[in-house]
Amino acid sequence: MDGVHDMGGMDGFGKVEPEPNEPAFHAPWEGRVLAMQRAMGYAGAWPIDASRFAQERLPPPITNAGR
Amino acid sequence: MAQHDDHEHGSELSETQLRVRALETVLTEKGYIDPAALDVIIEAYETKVGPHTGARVVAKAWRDPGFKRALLDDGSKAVRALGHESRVGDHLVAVENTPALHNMIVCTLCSCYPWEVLGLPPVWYKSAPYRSRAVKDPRGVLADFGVKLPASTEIRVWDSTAETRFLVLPMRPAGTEDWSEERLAQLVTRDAMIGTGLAKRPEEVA
Repeated sequence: MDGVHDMGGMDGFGKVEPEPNEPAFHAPWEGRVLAMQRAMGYAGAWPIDASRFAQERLPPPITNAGR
Repeated sequence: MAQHDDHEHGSELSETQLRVRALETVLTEKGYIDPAALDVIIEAYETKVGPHTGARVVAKAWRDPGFKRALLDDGSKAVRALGHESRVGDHLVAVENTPALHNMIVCTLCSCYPWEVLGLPPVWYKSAPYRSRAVKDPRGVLADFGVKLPASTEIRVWDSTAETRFLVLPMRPAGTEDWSEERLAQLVTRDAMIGTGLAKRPEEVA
């Protein structure tokens, strides 16, 4: 892989931008999504391997969003 | 609950908000999740799980040589004894900063992070600039955080994986010899435990 899932040493992304006093969630939906991930995990319906497989199949415009 | 508030105010929902709401509705109707349980999980991440946990671990290690040895020997076991368990069963490795060696953690593959002691990873930790450059130009990355180390200090960057995650044990600031664990914990920032910062100086917390 040469994309978002293995970025060590890639050039050209610029400076790191720390965010002082960063909130746990930047929008309410972020919390809902995290909680759904956890709840589905506890329900045994969304194991980490399935989650990872789904993420890695997303096209780059989606996986790069917000990064 | 916020996602109902914005509906009541009649504001427009973004595509992401709509998708998230649709997903929550479908999963609820199928009986997988309970929206009230999601509220509890969100509250836990906002109030209970966070870097204050790691700060107590570091403060304890600074005060208690036996605990420090145990932490450096087997991080998972040492923090489990304090009641902090990793959700995904990864192994926690604590790495100690000294005047000669500074440690930094990154996940070049995604965003692996010691959640049980630090909580949610910050956005910059998951960002392309940090993940790509931490392993190649750690001094440059530290400069982005306003941290400058002596040229004689070696910088060691630890790349996290699903199985192994790291916690930096920062150097204890001078002038804190008689401080309690609770007071010492106030000096331990999240960034100090990632290695993109240093512990605060005593005068910074007064």
